[in-house]
Amino acid sequence: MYDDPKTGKIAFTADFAYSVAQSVGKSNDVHAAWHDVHGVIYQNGVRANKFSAPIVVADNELRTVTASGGVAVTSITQADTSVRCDRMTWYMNKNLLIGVGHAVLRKGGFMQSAPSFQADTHLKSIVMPAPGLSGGARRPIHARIER
Amino acid sequence: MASRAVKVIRMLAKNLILRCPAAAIAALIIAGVLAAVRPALGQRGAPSVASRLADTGPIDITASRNIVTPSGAVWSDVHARTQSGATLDCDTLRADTNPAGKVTGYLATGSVKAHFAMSADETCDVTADKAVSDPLVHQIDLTGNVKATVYSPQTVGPLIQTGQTGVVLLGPSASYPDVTQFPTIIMNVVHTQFTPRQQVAGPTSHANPREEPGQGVQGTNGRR
Repeated sequence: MYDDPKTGKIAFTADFAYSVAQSVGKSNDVHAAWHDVHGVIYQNGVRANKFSAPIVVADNELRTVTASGGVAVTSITQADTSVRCDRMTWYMNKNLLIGVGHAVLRKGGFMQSAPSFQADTHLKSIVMPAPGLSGGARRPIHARIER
Repeated sequence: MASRAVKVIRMLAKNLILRCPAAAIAALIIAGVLAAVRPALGQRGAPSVASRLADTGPIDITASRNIVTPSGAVWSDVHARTQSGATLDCDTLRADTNPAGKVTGYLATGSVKAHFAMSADETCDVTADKAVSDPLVHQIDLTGNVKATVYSPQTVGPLIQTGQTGVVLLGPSASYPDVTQFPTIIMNVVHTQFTPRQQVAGPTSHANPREEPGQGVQGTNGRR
């Protein structure tokens, strides 16, 4: 279990294979990394998403959690909504998820890919690609609506 | 072929119903809601409509941006394509969804253009400023500079019909099955222009085979 260093509320719970933690510089900040992680992200104490990733790193000072190596996130509060990407950073204080690299969204009857995405923690509102991370293509969104 | 040409020309000369082009928009815009439409159409005795639309398969969309909210999704700068080759281009395409995530309607706005192959040698383009699909009433409303352009070997050059508004009927029209085998578009305040390739007897044709496309049969209808 990892608590938000500022609010003290639970940030995420996870099962993992092993973890590595070390002090950073002369401060009391701790750099922690978890490997082979499966867990749940919370927002204001409410379960928001299930997620899995090979590596998860938390930064206490920036209040960010970065998952990498192929991330899968499934919303708990939004019906039939999930995203995958290469790397995703969760900005706890901004209620913001930003994923980059082969982002794929599945929601309801459609699936779409993009270079990146930006969403709130619950995956309630999702923007693809994330602003400024379009990759330069004119139409980076590729969606398929199944019948 | 000749009898079919006569039939098509007579129908178009009425300037009321333009057959087939609606299928382009219908197939694309209502892609996600046809599961609900099909049974209703079947009950109304129009399996050809349902089966035709069912052939479109999944819809592939490329877009510059997409925003998903709990109430739906909006794509910008859209190009959509069905497996059958029908395409839809528009500035924005909005899909409204219910809380379960199922699509309840589509709205295409901004330079809406649908392209559809009617047969192996006939294609048509339909353009409008706005297209709204409402599966509850089985129709799509077209507004703003509605224009249908049909490319057919039965005419010299394309057949062009313009109108103020149009309504795509996803079910059979009142005159089904005489004129409706696909979804139809009923246009208001229309102007139709085409040149038949074959000489057709009848009061509506004044075509000169030597005339250029666009100078053949013309007609208008509707209240201005």
